Amino acid sequence: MRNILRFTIRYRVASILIIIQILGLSITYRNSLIHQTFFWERVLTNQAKWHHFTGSWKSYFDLKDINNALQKENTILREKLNNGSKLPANIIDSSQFKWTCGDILYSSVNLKNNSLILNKGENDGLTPGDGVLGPKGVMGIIDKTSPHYSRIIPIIHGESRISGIIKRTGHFGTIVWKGGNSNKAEIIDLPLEINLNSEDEVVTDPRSNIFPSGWPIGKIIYTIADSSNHTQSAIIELFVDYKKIQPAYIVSNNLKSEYQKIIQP
Amino acid sequence: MRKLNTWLIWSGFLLILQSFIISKIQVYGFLNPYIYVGIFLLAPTYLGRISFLFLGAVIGAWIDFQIMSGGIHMMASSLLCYFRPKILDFVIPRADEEDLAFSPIDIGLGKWLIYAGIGIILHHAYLFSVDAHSLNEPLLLIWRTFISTIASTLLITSVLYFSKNQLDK
Repeated sequence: MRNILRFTIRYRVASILIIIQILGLSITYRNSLIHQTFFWERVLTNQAKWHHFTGSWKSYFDLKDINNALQKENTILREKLNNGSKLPANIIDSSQFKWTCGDILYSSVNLKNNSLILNKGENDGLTPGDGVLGPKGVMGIIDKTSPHYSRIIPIIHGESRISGIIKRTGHFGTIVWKGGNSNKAEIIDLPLEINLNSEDEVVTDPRSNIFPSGWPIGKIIYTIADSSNHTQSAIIELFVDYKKIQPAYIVSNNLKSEYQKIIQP
Repeated sequence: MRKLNTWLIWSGFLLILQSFIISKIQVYGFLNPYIYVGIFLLAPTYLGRISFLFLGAVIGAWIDFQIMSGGIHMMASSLLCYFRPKILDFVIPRADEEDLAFSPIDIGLGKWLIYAGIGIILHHAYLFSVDAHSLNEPLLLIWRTFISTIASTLLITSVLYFSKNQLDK
């Protein structure tokens, strides 16, 4: 304390100068709007920088939660999109399809009969026969469920049969997979007379009563004509990539049993 | 200046000139001559340092009060008052102890311009940088300081020469 006093007395002129400067600065800031603006702008800029710094770490650790939230949001959006679908659809009312989100836990791609495992099951209201879509397109159909998991038969399964339509022309065919490359499949039984182009998009078929109409499956690479059966087939490139862990959206048709009842002879 | 009376008359004259004429002048928004700085430059050397510092603060605050500029003149003036003995000692060694005269008539125009120039540039640079509150536009700041320093120095020197017969005989 005594040292501070001694210091102050020794440098009294400089101390007074500093006091006057501080006084002047405070008067300036008190009275001048411009200086206040400058001051607060500086303070806010630094605060923003700091929050940006901490926020980037926080957002990194929050990524998982954000992903889940986005997935849920996507589910809701798909449900809404479904209601406003412009394609010829089998939608009877807005509550026909129920969407659930989940994650693919396991997928095999290099077998003859591949399968995927989903982290949602009976407890989430899934039943065998529900359709599964990935972020980019159709993945497959559920064939077995347990309380917490379900098994999906993807398009790249030897016995998978999913019907699809050519979006441009409206003709339908069946998508099959004969092994080989996991992102290529074949659409068969298309009429010979239609003129198919490469890049034509194949979308889900409303007749299947599994998927809502118009969801993308793949695009045509080239066509093969079979003149003896008067049909043609096309090799399509699938939009969905089975070789990665990804979110999945399961669509259940609430009116399936009613539909089954009426088409029975 | 050596005589207190002469200096006091000078101070009053410069303050009135500053308050009623010069402060009303603004050319292009960046030419602001402040001739009241002459008061500090011409102050007698036998004033105590602390009282001189307070004097600077009071005169600066008075100018601030008139042109409503917060406390920037107070800061700049007290800074100049703090450094004036050093500047004087640098330009005219031993002016302090031997009570030498240092008005432009006494020391010659060249030395006076150096002395006044250093003091005014210190005052103006500090004043304008506090006023701008940032160094974001250094060129504008330098330009403003430069132009205003020249204007202030010329005004103070010409006023001193003009009235040399009336005062400080």
